[in-house]
Amino acid sequence: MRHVAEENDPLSEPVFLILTSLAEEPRHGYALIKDIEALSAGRVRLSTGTLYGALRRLLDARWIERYTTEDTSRDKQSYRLTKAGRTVLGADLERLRTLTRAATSRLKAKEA
Amino acid sequence: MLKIFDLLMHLYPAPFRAEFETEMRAVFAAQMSDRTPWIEFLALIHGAARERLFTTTTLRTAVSLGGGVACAFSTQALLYRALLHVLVIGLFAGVAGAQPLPKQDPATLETAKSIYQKAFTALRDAKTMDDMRKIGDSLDAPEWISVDRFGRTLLTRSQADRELESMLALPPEQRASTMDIIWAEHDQTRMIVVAWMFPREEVRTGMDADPKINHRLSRATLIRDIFESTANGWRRIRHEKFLPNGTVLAIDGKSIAERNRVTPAQ
Repeated sequence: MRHVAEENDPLSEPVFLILTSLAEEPRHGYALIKDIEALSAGRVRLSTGTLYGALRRLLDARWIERYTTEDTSRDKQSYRLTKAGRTVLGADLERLRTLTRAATSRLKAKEA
Repeated sequence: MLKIFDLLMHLYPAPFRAEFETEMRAVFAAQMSDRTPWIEFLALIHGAARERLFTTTTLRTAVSLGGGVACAFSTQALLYRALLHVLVIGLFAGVAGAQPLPKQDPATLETAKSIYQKAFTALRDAKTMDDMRKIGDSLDAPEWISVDRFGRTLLTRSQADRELESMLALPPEQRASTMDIIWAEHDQTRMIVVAWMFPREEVRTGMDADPKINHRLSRATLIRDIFESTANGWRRIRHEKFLPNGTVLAIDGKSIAERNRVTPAQ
């Protein structure tokens, strides 16, 4: 499972889902797990170990950053998407759109 | 469980622990209500192995657990994978006898019981065709189907509605069924209910050489209902019946299936 890759490489599903979740609003760890579960219709349930391994790498890459709110405490740290993270997510979305278009047109051609 | 978590956290590199341990502990504790802890523990071991072996590599070192390793870190990654497999196999061997029992979520069970109880009660109390149609609407989606044990469609929703209407001719006490729910579970969009339907016990003679010996037979059929979440609540989309009606499950409390147990050849 690829957690964080080159900017031009496809994102792994956990990274894609973490970035997507944070694209909406800053979230702390547990809120991320719950939101990702909802985003993926219950299919992806990140474990604590997987989530924080990915968060560490995303922080290192500066695709996300810590976000301090009034109720921030040591056990409830929020994270938010950076401009670089938004760019990476946008690029991966574009890649998926291109693939989807190609797959759709081939399926239609086959059906026709 | 938190003590085991604290122990496993020592597998992580110290800088990682210093940065995330408090947060991870809080998230782990919050997850305990709806997760199997062993899966969390395995993920912690996996995460610790990865952090230990890749702490010094750059971010752009792309690693795939399933597909191998990219670029110049292949030796390190192979070591990582080997270590991970040893850890996982060891842990599985160690805890195989201590797997937690599957946990029925009481809230889902109550939801399922309430859906069926409401339907059975309404079925018993129905007086008009309209009452019967309302039962169908409140329980089943328009695309509902019933399938037999071969997966063949037995009934569609419109056929079932006609059957419901014909039940008005029956005395109220004969309309409703009983069921013993074995398991109810839901995710974001679906709920499944597995149950013994029409459970009953009867005493039968004539099953042995001595015709006077009585035996207690437990009979039922096994069903699975699949519900889908809608704006109006859960609606059943599929009813599957896996056994013929009145299948004998146990004789004198001893499971019939035990006679048919399959094991590797000696």
